[in-house]
Amino acid sequence: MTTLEPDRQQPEVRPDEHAGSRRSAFSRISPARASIVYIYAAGFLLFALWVPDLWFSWDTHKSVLNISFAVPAIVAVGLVVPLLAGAFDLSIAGVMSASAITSSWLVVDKGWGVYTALAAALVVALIAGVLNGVLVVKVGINSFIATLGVGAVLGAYAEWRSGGLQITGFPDGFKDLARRELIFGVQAKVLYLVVLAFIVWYVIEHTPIGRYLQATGDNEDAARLAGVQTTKYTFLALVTSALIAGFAGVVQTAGVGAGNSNTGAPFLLSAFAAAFLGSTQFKGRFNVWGTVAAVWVLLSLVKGVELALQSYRWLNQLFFGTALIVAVGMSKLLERRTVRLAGRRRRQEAEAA
Amino acid sequence: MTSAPALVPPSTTDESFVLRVGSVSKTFPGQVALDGASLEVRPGRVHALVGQNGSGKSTLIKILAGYHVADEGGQATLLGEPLDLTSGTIAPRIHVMHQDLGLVNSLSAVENLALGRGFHTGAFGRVRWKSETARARTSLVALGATFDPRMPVGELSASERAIVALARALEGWDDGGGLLILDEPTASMARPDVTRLFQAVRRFCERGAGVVFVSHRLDEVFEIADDYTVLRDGRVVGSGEVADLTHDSLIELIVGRELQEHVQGDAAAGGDPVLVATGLWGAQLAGLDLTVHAGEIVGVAGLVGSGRDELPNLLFAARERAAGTVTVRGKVLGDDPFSAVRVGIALVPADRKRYGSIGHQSIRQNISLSRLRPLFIKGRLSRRAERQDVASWADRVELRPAEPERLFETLSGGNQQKAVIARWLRTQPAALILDEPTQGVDVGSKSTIYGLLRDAAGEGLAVLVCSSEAEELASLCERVIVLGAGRTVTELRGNQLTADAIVHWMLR
Repeated sequence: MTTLEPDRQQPEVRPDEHAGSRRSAFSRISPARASIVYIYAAGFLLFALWVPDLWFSWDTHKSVLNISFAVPAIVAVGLVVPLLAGAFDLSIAGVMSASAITSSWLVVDKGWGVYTALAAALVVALIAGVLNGVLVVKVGINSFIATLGVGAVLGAYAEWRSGGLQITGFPDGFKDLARRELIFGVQAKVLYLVVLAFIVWYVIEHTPIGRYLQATGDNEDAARLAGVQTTKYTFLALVTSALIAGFAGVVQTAGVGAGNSNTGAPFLLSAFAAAFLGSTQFKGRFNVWGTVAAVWVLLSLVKGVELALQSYRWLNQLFFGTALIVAVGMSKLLERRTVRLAGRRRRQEAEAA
Repeated sequence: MTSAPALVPPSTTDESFVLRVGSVSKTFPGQVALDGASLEVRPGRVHALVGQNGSGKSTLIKILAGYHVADEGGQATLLGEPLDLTSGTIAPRIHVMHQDLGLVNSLSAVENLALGRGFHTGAFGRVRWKSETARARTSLVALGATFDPRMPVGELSASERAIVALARALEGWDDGGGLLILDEPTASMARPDVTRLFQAVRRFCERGAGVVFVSHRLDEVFEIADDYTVLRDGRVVGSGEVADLTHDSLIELIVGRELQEHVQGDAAAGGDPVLVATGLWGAQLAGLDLTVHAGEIVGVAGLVGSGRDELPNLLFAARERAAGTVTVRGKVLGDDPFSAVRVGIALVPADRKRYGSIGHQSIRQNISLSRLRPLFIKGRLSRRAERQDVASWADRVELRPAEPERLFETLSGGNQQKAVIARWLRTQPAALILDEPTQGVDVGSKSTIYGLLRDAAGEGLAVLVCSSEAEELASLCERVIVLGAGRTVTELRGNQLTADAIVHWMLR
C-alpha cells in the first residue's frame, strides 16, 4: 500500500488548524503546538546548571516516575475521556478515596486476597460511575453538579468506613501491586499507566468511539442529529473515568502502604490541570499524550525546585494551579486568534474573488 | 423607482399621524429590498403590514428599529417630529415587540417591567418592592391582565407574557403617544391567547399609541387591524382601510395575481412508498398523515406555527412525538435520531451552525461522522480510507474549496450545506429530509443543491423538502403539501403547483 494519498498534492494545511494527521514531525512539536516540550527543555537546562549532581542522577527521575508521576497521570488519563465528551467528572477524588478505603478495609480487616479486594474496589468505582452517568444522562443534571455531589457522598463513605483513621498493616503482596520493580527500578504502577494510556489513546484516536466522544463534546446537539448516541457515550465516559480513578485509588494505597480516607483529594487538581494543559498540546483538544506529558513536566519541575531549594509542601498546588489557569487562558487566547485568522482569511478570499 | 403610491411629503406640523414614512428605500448588495416604500400610522389605530417573505416588510421594520440604515432620500416623521432613518438607532418613542418578547422568564412581571428603566430604590439601595408591585399591577390591569405580577414570567401563559411585554413597551409613555411594532407576535400562539393579546393591544391603542402589526395570518389582520399596507417586491402595492377589503382581495394584493380555483389532484406517484407517517401529533402537528415515495421530491409548505417547522424534527425523532408512527420501507422509527439513521432517514436541519455541524472540527470529520463503521479497518479508523471517501464526496457535491482538512466553519453557507448533504448521502439513506435547504445559501450553491437532490431522487431516494420559500418548492418538487394548523390543507401537483398557489393556500 504505497499509493500516493489523494490529497497530498493539495495546499498545506495551516498549522493553527488542529485537524489532520499529515504533518511533519517537526510541526508536531513546533512551539505553538507543543510548548510543553520547550518548557521542559528550559527546566531541564536550568536544573542541570543549578543542581547538576542531583539532576543528572537516575534516582531523581526514577523517584519522580515512581513516587509522584504514575498515579496522578493514571487519574488524568481517565479524566480525558469525559472531558473529551464535554462532561466534567469532579467525583474522581471521592472515587479514589472510596476505592482506597474499600480495598484497605477488605485486605487488612477482612483478610481478603489482593485481587478480590481490587475487584471489590472497582465495583465501588463502577457503581459511582453508573450513578454519575444516570444523574447526568437520564436525570439531566449538569455533570459538574452531579459529580460534585456523588464525589462528596463517596468521600463521606470513605470517612465512615475508615472511622477517620489510617488503615495500615498490609501484606507485602498488596504493596507489590504498586511497588514491584520491573526494570531499572521502575515500579509496576508505571506499567499500569503505560497500558491504560495506550488503551485510552487507541480508543479515542483510532476507533469511531473517539470521534463520537469528540463530536458529543464539541456540539452535542449536532452530534445527536448526526446519529451519534450522545447519551450513551457520555454515560460510558463517566463510567470509564470512575473505573480508572478507582483503580488509581487502589494503586496509590498499595504504593504508600496505607489506606487514607482522603487519598483522592490531591489528585483532583492535578488531573484537571494536566488534562487542560494537555489539551493545548499536540492536538488542540483533550488528548492522552499531551496530558501525560503535562503531568511529567509539571512534576519534574516541582522535583527540580525541591532539589535546588528544599521540599515545600505548597509547590505542587502552586504549580498545578498555575498550570490550570495558564492552560485554559492560553487556549482561550488561541481560540480568539483562530477566529481572527479565519475572519481575515475569509476577507482575503472574498477580496480575491 | 416606480409607482410608489402618490404621497404628500410629510409635513412637520402634521399631528394626526404617529408615524409617516415616505419614499424609503434600502439596497443590499445585489438586491433592492425596499423601493420607495411608505407607511402611515394613525394614533389609536392598528396598522397591518403584510406581504410575502422577501416582500420587504421585515426590512422596513428593521429600519424603524434601527438595525438597518435606510438609503438616503426617504422622509419620516414620528409624532410630528422629523425622524432620521439613516441613524441606525431606534427612536425613544418606537418600541418593537419581537416574537420572543425579550422577557427574562425566571423573573416576575414586576422585575421585568423594572429591568429596562431601573428599580425605584430607597435607603441603602433597597428596592421599594411595594411601590414597584403596585405600579406593575396598575399598568398590567390597564391592559386587562388578571394574573399576579409577582409570579415568574415563565409560568404565565403565552398571552399573559405578551401583555407583560406590552406593559413594558408602555413604560415611560405616560401621555400615551408612540409607535409599537408587533413583529409576528402570534406566530406560535394558540387561538385563545391570540384573542386575549388582541384585547390588550386594543386597550393599549386606546391610549393614543399607533400600532404596526405584522402577521402572516390574514384572519388576524381582519380581526385586529384598522388600516393596512401591502408590500410586494419592496414596493407598496396597496394601502387603505381594512374594512374595504375582502379576504380574497387581500390575498390577490399580496400574491399579485388572481388565482384560479384548484381541483384536488389524485394521489399516486411512481415508486413504492418509502417514508410513511401516520397520525403524527406534536406541539403543532395534529394527526398528520404523509407518504413519500421512492424517487419523489415532496415539498412541505406552511406558515410558522402550521407544523411545517416541526415536521422534520418529528420525522427524524429529534423531537418527541406525542403520537403517531413513522416507517421507512416498513421499518419502524424508534425515538431517537440514532434509530432514525438506522432505519434510513437523514435530516439536513435548518440551523446548520447549531444542529447541522460541528464548526471547529474539520470538514472531513463532519462528513464522516454519521458513518464511521466502514472506515474502521483492521482495528483502526483508517485515515486513508476516510480521506479518500470524503474527497470523493467533496467532489460529488462540488465542495469549494475542496480542502477537507479545513475547519467546517470556514466554509461559506452554501458549501456548508453541500457538506451536510454529502454527510447524509454517504450513509445511503432511504429518505432524505431537508429543513430550509437553501437558507443562507448563495445562488450558485443553490442550483448545485437542487441538482444533488434531483440526482438523489433519480436514484430512488425519497426526498422531503420543508421550506418557507414558495418559489423553491414550486420549482423543485413534484408535489407540495400545504400545512395549516397542524394538518394538510391541500396538496398541489402538476400544473396547479405554482409559487402563487402555495402562498395562496398558506394564507387561507
